[in-house]
Amino acid sequence: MKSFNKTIVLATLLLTAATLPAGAAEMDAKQVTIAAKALGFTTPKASAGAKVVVTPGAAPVATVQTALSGASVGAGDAGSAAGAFAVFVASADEAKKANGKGTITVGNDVACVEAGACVIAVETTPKVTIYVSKAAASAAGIDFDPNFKMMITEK
Amino acid sequence: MCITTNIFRMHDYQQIRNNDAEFPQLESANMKNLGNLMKLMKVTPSRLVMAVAASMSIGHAAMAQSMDYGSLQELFGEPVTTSATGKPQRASESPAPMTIIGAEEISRSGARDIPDILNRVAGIDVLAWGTGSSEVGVRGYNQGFNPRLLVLVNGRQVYLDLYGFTAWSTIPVQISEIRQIEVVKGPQAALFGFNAVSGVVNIITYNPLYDDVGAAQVTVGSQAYREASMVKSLKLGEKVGVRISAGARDVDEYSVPSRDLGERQLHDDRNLRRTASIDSLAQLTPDIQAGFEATWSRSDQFGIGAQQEANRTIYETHSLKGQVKANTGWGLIDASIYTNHLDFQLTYPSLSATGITSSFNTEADTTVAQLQDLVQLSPSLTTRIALEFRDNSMKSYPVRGATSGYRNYAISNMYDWKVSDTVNLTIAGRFDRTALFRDGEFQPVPFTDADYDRKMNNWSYNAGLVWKPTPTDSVQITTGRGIQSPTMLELSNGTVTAVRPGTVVISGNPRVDPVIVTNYEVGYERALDAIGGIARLSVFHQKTKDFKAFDLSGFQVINGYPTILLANNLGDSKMWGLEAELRGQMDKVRWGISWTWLDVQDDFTFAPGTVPVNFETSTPRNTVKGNLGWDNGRVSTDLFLIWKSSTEAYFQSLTPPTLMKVDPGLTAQLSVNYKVTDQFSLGLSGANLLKEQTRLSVAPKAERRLLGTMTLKL
Repeated sequence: MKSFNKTIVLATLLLTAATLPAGAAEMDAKQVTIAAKALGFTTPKASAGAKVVVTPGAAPVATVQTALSGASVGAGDAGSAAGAFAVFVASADEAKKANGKGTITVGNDVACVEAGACVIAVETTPKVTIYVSKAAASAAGIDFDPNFKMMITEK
Repeated sequence: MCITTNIFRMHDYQQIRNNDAEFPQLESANMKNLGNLMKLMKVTPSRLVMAVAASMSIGHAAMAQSMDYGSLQELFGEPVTTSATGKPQRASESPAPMTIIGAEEISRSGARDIPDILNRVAGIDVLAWGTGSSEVGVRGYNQGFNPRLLVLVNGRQVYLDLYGFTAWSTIPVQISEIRQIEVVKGPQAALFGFNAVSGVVNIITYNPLYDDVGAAQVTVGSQAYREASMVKSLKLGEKVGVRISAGARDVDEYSVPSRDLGERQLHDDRNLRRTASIDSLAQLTPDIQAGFEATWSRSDQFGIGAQQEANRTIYETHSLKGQVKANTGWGLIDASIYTNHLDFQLTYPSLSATGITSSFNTEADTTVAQLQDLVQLSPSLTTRIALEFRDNSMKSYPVRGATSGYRNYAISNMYDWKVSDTVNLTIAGRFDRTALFRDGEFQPVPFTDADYDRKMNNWSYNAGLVWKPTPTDSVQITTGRGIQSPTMLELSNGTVTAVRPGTVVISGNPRVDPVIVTNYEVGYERALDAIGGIARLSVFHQKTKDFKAFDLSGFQVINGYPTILLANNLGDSKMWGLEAELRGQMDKVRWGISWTWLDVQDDFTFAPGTVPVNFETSTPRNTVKGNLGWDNGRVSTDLFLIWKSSTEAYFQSLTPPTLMKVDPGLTAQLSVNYKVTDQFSLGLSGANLLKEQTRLSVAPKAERRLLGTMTLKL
């Protein structure tokens, strides 16, 4: 029985580990704030109360809600992103699942943009740098303010 | 200001957009609207604004054709600009030696005019002539009516082509409507054209569509200083923004002894300045914006002129500007047209049978049409191609009836290439074709109409390489070639009738060549987290070819007439320079110190003293500036100190030009601001604080000044 319990615990841990997002740490408050501001330069614009989904490990949900106070921010997985204005994701795989027309995927890692999976990722150190995947933005039907576009790093 | 930090509580810029609208690509509709706008441009300004307002009833979500300085600065955590290349850039990435002074810094400084604000920038030399007028030079060569610095307000030239200088008091901008002042050092002619040879100052005001600003200010102080100003932005519906401003200032000149009767007559009057402006921007379609601006100013002030002479000048200016910006499949297209008018009267010391002063008055007009396209060819390559037409003219003096000037046609092209994550290369070139003209009821003397049938070709360039070997280090290598065009006065010929042979004629010179200024510079910048600031070092070498000036001693016989030319090319000059700067901020304390070293070597063709110019001695060899500020919630303080080594510059009044020494000196300015409520604040500022009287330039000494300002946000 004892051995069975150990097996259960071990299996649970392994399962939990397997379902945890791989890759970078979740976004900190500054990254979330910058990402939220960057979303203001996209077209189409979000409507008031727009749906924003934060997947596990992408960013603290409360921080995203604070930065996007007019949005309806909720935790969820990539599969629940249909119709969302933005989805904060923790991996390229999740971004691919979340991608859809009009949905902006915000990665917690530049690698996600480099892979063409996320629309936006931000770095805040040593200075603010915004990365945008041209392919992912195009696939999602997202465009940006033309002045903003000349000041970011397109991948 | 009304700026928040997220997309759903966005600033006014996004409030103009429909949140839930669709965003069709209305290219054909846009073209139709553009055509309609062009028709509207033919009607009166007020009708244009009304028409634009009416057209806004059908709204769509919009993209921003005009750059939203505030939002982008908030996003990137640093100022943004287009003044280095024409492309939107972060200040830290601009491939040109640049300083940006923000609104907060301006407010803390307590400065009540733009030269006082600029005086804080390393490499800038301000010669204060009196309580109401100053001259601003970048990296040496400063003089009365300094022709080497191009000054713009939101891209519209406020530099006066008549004499080739900027009368700062005529700039129709209130301090409280300035978002930032951008100072680019060195020639920037490939982007801005003629006269951007020692640098460019571009004053950026708050955007009437994006920014919500309002302030009323009253300032009183010593020298019977009285100033009132008002700025207010208004929204006409969701998609039209208007900003209006007006100001009036009266101030006595310093109560110091004048050196002769001529100077006294010019110096003892009260200075005045009056300005008004209206600026508007409308979102015509999701991809097209149109703007209209009208300004007026009048000022009457004592100063020092191009001959280093004491003078009193009355200026009255007005301008009209229309602009259309469109985000198209072919890039970001910007078309603008503006016209500047100047009524000018200069009174100067001159002994004659009728008195001890004489006057010169005329009118000048500048019309500029510009079309540019900014295209992102790839994520790493951006190009800007631009066309410009310029018509510059002045009326003849003393009798009207003739007009002279030039028409200029220019094409320019810029490439900005992000070579790698650490290297950026910018190359820009411009070609100018200039055709002189003279139209009039009488024949010119001594030059003929044939002399005015002259065409000139000039080219200018800018190139900049920025290398960032580490995230905190940046090396900048830049070069530029700029053109300083002949002024309207230098090209003019106002003689009414044929002068008898043997009589001396004083005339402009249609044969004068433009001055060419070339600059080579290496700069290094390092971000210093330990002090919350930066260190900067620049070394530069500048060559001035074909310097031009009024050569009173240089008689020439032209078509049989002995002539003194108002402009002649008189040799070359070169300069080596160094600028070092350190700035930091720790907790509530901010500080900065800069040192500028300049070594000028003139190689002029005239005998010393015959032309009132000696840049070797009039350029301060060493200038040290420092500031220390403390901010604590509602209170902010700022102390600014400047020390200049000795200079010798010419001065003339009723006496001939003589070199006058200005001893090395330290001056201090102090400002204390207290925010009584969020809407109301009080400020106390002082200048020339260390002595009761201080000689700042060859002008009469300056007295200690104290000013108090009340600001009410509207």
